[in-house]
Amino acid sequence: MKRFVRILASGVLLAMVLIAVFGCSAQTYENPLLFDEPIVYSFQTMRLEQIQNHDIVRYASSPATDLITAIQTHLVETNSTWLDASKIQLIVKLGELSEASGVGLKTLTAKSGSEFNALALEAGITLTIDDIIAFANLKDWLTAADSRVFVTRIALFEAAMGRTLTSEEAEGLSDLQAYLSDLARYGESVQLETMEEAELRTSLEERGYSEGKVASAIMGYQLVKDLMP
Amino acid sequence: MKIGLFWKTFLLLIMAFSLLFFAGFWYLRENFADRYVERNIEAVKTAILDFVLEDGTFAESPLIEGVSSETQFLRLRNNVVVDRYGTTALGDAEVLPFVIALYDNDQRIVEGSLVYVVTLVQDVTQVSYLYRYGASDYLLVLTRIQSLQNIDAVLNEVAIAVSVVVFMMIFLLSFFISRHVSSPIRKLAQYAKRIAKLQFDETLILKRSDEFRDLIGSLNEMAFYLRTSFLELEHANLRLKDDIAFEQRQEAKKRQLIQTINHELRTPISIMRGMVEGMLDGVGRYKNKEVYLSEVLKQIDDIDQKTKDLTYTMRLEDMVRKDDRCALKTLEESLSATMEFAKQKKVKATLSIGEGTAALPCELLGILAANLLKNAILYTQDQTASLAAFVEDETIVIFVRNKGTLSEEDQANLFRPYYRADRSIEGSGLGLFIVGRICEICGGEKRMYNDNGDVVAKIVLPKASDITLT
Repeated sequence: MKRFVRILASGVLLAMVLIAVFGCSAQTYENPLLFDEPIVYSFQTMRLEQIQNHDIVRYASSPATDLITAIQTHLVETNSTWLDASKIQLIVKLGELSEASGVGLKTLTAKSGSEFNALALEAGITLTIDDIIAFANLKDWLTAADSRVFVTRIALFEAAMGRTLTSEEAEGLSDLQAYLSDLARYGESVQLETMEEAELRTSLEERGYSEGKVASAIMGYQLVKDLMP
Repeated sequence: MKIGLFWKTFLLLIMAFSLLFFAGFWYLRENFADRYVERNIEAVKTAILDFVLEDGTFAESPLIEGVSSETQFLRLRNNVVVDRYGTTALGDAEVLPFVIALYDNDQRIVEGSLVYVVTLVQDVTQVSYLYRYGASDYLLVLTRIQSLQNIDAVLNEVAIAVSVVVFMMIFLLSFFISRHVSSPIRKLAQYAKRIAKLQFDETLILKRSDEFRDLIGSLNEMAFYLRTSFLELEHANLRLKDDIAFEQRQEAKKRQLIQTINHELRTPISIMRGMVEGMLDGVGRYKNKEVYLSEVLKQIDDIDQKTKDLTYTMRLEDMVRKDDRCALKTLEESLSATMEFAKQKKVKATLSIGEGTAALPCELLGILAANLLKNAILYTQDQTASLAAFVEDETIVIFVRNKGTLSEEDQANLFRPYYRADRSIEGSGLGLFIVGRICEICGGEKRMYNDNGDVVAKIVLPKASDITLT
């Protein structure tokens, strides 16, 4: 009996310690993001999944950009040249229409050609025969495509910027993401939209970033700023 | 109720042909519209491929005659109509809705660069095509096929008009085919019935070149063999009847012969009995035993001779073989003893022997000739006798002639055993009987008759090649 009470007390004590440890860390812990980590794009929902607030990809992401990047990534895997200029043009228009009408890409691509055309007309977007054909082809492609694909942040930024990033630019974005992740780890956050470059530099220096890392992160900050409306 | 083969075939063919006609017409009705549209689509596809030149312009003489009359071709580049051909059903403003409607239709068919869809708009079949040459380079084709609603009615009217002629043709065709099939079978059945009744008087002749030809040939061959076998059997039956009748006649002759023998032998035996009894009792003239014992011995020799002749007569048939042959010239040697006998009797006997071969053994031919000639020597009234043997009409003829006359009774009985025309002349009465038997055995003929103061014996025997045994 005495032995049983001792075992029971030990169990209760262990449980209390575990609850204290994990409960406290849940309050302050943020998943440390790495810039090179792949992101999941779902063709079911037609958007990036599990994007955290401190992820700089938010600044490069848009429905059209995400979709183009996802399709390009998928086509690289399947070694296909399906995505031509007319389809990119259509996806851009879909993105514009999505923003203008507030209708998600998933809903838009579920519509018929005539419904799509009607919505576009309402939004002041003129569709061409290429668009209609590309729209039908896109719907067919989405039906046959895999449910999801892994995309990289670099690809998303490149798609958003419409050009290829240099290694320094990629390094800058990576350092900026490291800074934001560092803040998030301690439950802090900044709004890059309103943050000045000098504030960022000061914050980086206060946190002990080297001069090179500061300059690199500032370069990443400038790239993100360029993408902001 | 028995239904003939003709009617069965006729009715079956009428039903089969009618069924085929209705099935064909039904298939035509059911598939006409679809096939018409399909053919039109194929024509348009061909036209699309042939209609547009490599530089993108339309050919000057497009192959548009093969497609529907209401077909419009539109060439679009960079979303602008650059060329058009055919009807003007599709304006510039309708181009985009046209493409939208084409791609909104789940029934659209994709064949490489060609996409098309078939729709029914107010009973008009509309086929929309889009052919993609490259980026922003398209050919749009719109085909409208007029209403096919009246096709069924038209087809019905045509079918009613045609069916009258078709049914007449079906009727005639069924009739001729049925007749063609059943006619030979009917004739075969009749022919088989005749064969079953053993009527072989006709041969079946049918002008056919199919399997019936073999069948008829086999039937005729079978009938021929049946007829041959039947005739052989009939012939064998007749011969058997003849044999039985012959045996019966022979039996009667034997019975008569035995009676004659019985009579002929009993006479000398009775004489001998009287002589011996007289000698034993020592009465009258029979006391002189030496005289009468020699008389008894003579009677015994007489009986012995008669017994030998009879035995010889019985053996005659055993002497004949199937392939017996004897040249007439052998008679000269066979008759040498008889010629010597003629000299002893002081009779001038002459022989005239020709060439030829008789179909009987030389021994029998010699006996026959010797008996005839000996008989002529014994009975001639002018001490002359002659024998001539020669070939006449593929037979062997033997003539024996001597001076004298035969009574009617003699002519009737000369060939009977122990008949003697003149008992005063020596002889056993079996010589001519043996001649008659040899003729019967060899299938020959015998005759004795008076001829201008002569007695003539004429014997006709078969030649060697004509031998037949009886």
